[in-house]
Order: sequence, then structure tokens, then C-alpha cells
Amino acid sequence: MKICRIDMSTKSISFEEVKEEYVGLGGRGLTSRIISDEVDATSHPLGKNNKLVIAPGLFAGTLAPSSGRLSVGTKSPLTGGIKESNAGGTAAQSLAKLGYKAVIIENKPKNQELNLIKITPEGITIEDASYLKMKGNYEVGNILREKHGEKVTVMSLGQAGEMRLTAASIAVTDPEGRPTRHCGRGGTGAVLGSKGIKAIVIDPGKENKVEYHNIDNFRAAARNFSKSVLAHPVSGQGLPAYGTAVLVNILNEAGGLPTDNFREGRFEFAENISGETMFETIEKRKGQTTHACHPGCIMRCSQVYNDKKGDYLTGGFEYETIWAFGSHCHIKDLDSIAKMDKMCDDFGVDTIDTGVAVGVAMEGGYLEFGDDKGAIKLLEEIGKGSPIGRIIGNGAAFTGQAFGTERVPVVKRQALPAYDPRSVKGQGVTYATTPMGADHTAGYAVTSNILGVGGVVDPLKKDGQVELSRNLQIATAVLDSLGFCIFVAFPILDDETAFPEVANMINSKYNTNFDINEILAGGQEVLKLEKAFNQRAGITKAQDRLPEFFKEEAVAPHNVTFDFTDEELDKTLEF
Amino acid sequence: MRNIQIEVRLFAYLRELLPSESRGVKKIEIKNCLTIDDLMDEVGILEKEIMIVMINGIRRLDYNESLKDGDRVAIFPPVGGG
Ligand code: SF4
Repeated sequence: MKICRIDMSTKSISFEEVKEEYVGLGGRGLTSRIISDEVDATSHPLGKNNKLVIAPGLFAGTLAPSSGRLSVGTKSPLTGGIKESNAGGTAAQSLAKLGYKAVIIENKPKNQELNLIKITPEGITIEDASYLKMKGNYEVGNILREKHGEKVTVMSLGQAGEMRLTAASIAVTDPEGRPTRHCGRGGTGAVLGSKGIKAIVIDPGKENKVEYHNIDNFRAAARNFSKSVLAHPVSGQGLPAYGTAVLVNILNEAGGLPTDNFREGRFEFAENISGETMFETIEKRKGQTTHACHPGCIMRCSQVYNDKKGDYLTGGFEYETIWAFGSHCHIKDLDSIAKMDKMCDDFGVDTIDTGVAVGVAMEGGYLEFGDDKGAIKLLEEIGKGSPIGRIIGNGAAFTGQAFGTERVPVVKRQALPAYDPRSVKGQGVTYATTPMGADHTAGYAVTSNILGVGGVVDPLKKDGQVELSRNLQIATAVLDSLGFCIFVAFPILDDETAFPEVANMINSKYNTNFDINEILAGGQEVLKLEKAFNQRAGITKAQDRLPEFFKEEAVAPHNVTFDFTDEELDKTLEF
Repeated sequence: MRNIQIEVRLFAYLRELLPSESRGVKKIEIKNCLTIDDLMDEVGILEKEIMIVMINGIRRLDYNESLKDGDRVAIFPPVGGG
């Protein structure tokens, strides 16, 4: 394995052996470590002193199921703190097959430039990409595949990344070459844009450089782990059949589906935008209800959503996106929401921060709640790069400032996702305390709060939530480092044989002898590093808080507030 | 004994138990003091097909609980996401 450094000021490329301390790190563990070791926390996120680290997880390219997540780490232009954002798609597996442990992009060109990085078995080259200027991810992918071959993976920026907007994502193509998988959160696309890079093309070639210390043991452990994943009702049946959108009705029933910019916990039109409706619509239009975002995913929660004529409209259409443009904005037309999902994928913006920003613009009186046509027009402005488009493309916090409203659901300037923190309290603890800014995946307490996976913790009460969020945040840091899709947490939480098999996989690949506790301690280390970086960047406990309206306004139907004290929240990651 | 009215809401593939135009929702009259368990029998759901039962938005773990007039009973098979 090797680490590659690309200096965008001199256009020089160098390769280094993996340092001893980095050998056991991958994915988020490695990106956060390198950012923490090499980037001054007070650097401007878009300046030459920030870096962008791309790292496959420790299991990328292996026989482990659903292990192809790609981590991108940087200092976030959105939160001002450390950021790891991960995506599916085929990039992590391609990089691992080529023997890359990480690619570090540093420095920046003097003038504004657009470049293409090409990674192949022959090495890495940097080419001019000015012909892609202000093109969207779909077109960029088509042009690059025509030039570089149908099989390549494309990571790219849409218009938003080029403009360095703080909700800009980095798109990663799925097995069909569609830019539907994104490192969405925290504005990683803006950092790549600041380095003068429009796209990265990866051609893994034929040879697979992934090595195992003991492949037979690894294979046996991977097989057992796959069995656990497939035997669990959520990861084995629920996710493949209905995807994540099935959560619309679950959260609506539970009173945790934020509606009209977090005014209500239920949406009167939930059924129109539900997973069940989506499933029927996809079937009727002959799309795909089940789809893997990368080869080797056995949970296959993704899908292909066609338009009324039966032509491809969008894919990777997730619950959080449906929520952000749906109930959050009081929009009830699933086709309009699908169209906005496609636009976000194409312009390269985070669907959560952008959808929440549209709702905040509604709050500010720019358009009416429920106005789907107006929302679509507003999104078009991002692609055009107009001033209003730039406002929305900078995310919810910026949009709230632009429209002078205080009702802005963000933590550390990152938009809250699709679970009301008052009625799914464990989720609220995670939003407040994760070093990432409001993020549902960082410690997905919906498991025990709503789904009854990994035990039962009452979502409306405070009891047990801090501990739940802490344990989940630690476990997630581990899974993000291995490159596992977070949904393998479902079997891990319920089947006690699953995590030991993860340890077996680590040990048989890397010739180590870790037990479960040592692996979890590694997760804690990641969080400690991230917290320390944030502190150096000036992010203190005062930012580990939800906006005050969550404490003051009770949300229907359960009429609950977010009632944790500051001291209680501060205990979450105290270790 | 007088009857009570409740609203049953079925989700994902459990909806196949009801006509498709009902979108999984049905108001039914049942005898007073019927439990969640009795209701499942009435609708034809096996316990192993169930992952979550919520009454008026609050999850229930004890299916011997009696239902009350006007209850909104949501029943989910094993599904989930993130
Ligand atoms: S479960 Fe879904 S998000 Fe996770 S790896 Fe599979 S397709 Fe991708």
C-alpha cells in the first residue's frame, strides 16, 4: 500500500510508504489523523494550507460485504471544524485495487484553474480540464467516460464545487456510471474546487493489489458476517425491498418527521412521499426498487427512479432527501422531489443542507411553504451561479443569514437531518455533540429509539440517550474507518456473533491480534482527535448545542422539547 | 359489551392484507377490551411478521395491552433505514 501526495501548486506528484502509525488506519480514521497531523486548525478551509485526503476504508476491495465506502477528510468550509464525509460508489474499491491507502491533495494553484487528476495502473497524471467549466456532474461523467473508457470511476464537482459553495459535494459514480453517490456533507466539494480540481478519473485496470495475511480465514469470517447481515430483518429484508424511504411513514407515526421547518412532527401528506408510494411508483414505471451502490453490497438499499415516461430520472434517492425537499418544505409531490434530488446530484450539492436551505428560504418569505415549482426554480439558480443560487448553495446557515431569520436548524452551521431531536432525543444528542456538525449517521440513535434495534430506549425521554449516542458514535467511527456501510450496524447491534467476525477479518487481513475492546478503543481515538482539532479551530462546547427553539417550543403530537442540560450533553464524548 | 372504533395503519408489505386503495389504513370496530394481540388475529398478521407497533405514536412492547376507543394503531414489519 502507498500514499500519494499531489501538490496542486507545483503540479508535482510523489509517493510514500505508509508510516508505521498509519498502517492500522483507514477511511475516517486515516483522513482525520492526517488532517489532524498536517493541517493547522486555524487555516482557511479554502486556502493553500488546508488539505483534502481521500482514503478507502481498511476493507475496501476485499471480500467483506458492503465495505466500499470512500472517506474524504478536510477542514470543512461549512463547519470550520474537521470533516469526514463518506460515499458509496466504486471509487474506494478502485483505489484499493490500485494499492492506494490514501491520496492527499495539498496546496493550490496561483490562478483559478480546472484540472483533471487521472489515476491508472501506470500512475497519476494531471491534465487541463477547462473544457468542463461549469458543467454538471452528469455531463462531466459522460464526457470523461467517452475520453477515458466506459469502466472508469469518476469523482467530480458540479457547478457548486467550482464556485466553492459550502454545501458543495464530491460526486462518485455508481456501477452504472451515474453520479448518484456523494460525499455530501460539510462542503468537501468546495475544498476540491479550491485546489483547482474538477474531476478525478480512476481506472483500476485488471490487477487487484489487495493483499491478505490469511485469505482463508478472512473469507470464512466474511462469509459468517454476510450471513448475519442477511439474517437481520432490517439489513436482510427491509433495506433491499424498500430502501431507506420507508422511514417516512415510520417517523411520521412516531411524531419525529420534521415538517414545515421543524414546526410539526407529522406531515399530513406523508403518504404521498412515503417509501411505500415510492416503491409502487418505481414498479409501475419499471425502474429498479433494489440496487447496489457498489459491487459487493448485499443490502442494496439504493434504487433507480424513472419519470412518468419511464425514462431514468434519479437514483440513490434517500429518506433524508425526500424529507428535506418534502415535509420540511411542505412539498407533497414525489416527482418534484425526485427532480430536485437529480438537480442536487448534478450541480453537486448536499441534498440535506440544500433542502433545509430551501425550507429556510421559505421561512424567510422568499417563497411559500409547499411551492414545489418555486423550489425547483430556485435550485436551477445554483446551476446558473446567480447570486440567489449561490446563497442556497451555501447551505441552510448562510441562507438563514441572507433572509434574516433565526429559525435555522443547524449545529456548527451544518443542517439537521430528518429526525426531530425533540421526539427522537438520542438523535438530538448526536446532532449536538458529534464533531461533524449535525449529522444523523455519526451516531444513529434511531436504532434503539425507533426501530428497536440494539435494545429499546424511549425516544421521548432523556434516560439512556447520552450513553446510547456515545456508544454509537464510537462504533460508527470504527465502521467508517473500515469502509463499511453504516447499515451493517443493524446486525452488529442485534447479533453478538457479528462484531467478533469483524475482528477476525481485521486480524486475518492485517496480521494483528485485536480484540473487540481494542477495536472500539480505536474508534474513541478517532473521536478524540477530531474533538481536539475542533478545539484548536476554536469550536468549543458552546457549539455543542442545538438552536434554542428546540428547547423552547414543544413539538406535536407528543408536545416534547429538547430538555437536556448543557452538562448532560458535555458528558457524551467525555473520555 | 359496547364496541369501540380504532384506526389500524399497516405499512410496507403488511398492506397486502387490505385492499390497495385503502393505502394501509382502515377504521375498524372491535369489541371493548380487545388487546393488540387480538387485533393482530383479527387483521391476520402473525407476530413474527411484526417489528414495531405504535399506539398514538408511542411504541408498545406488550401486546397484551387493551385498545381504547379512538386509538391509532400503526404496525410495521421489519423495515428500516438511515
Ligand atoms: S446499503 Fe445502500 S448505501 Fe449502503 S453500501 Fe449498500 S447500496 Fe450503498
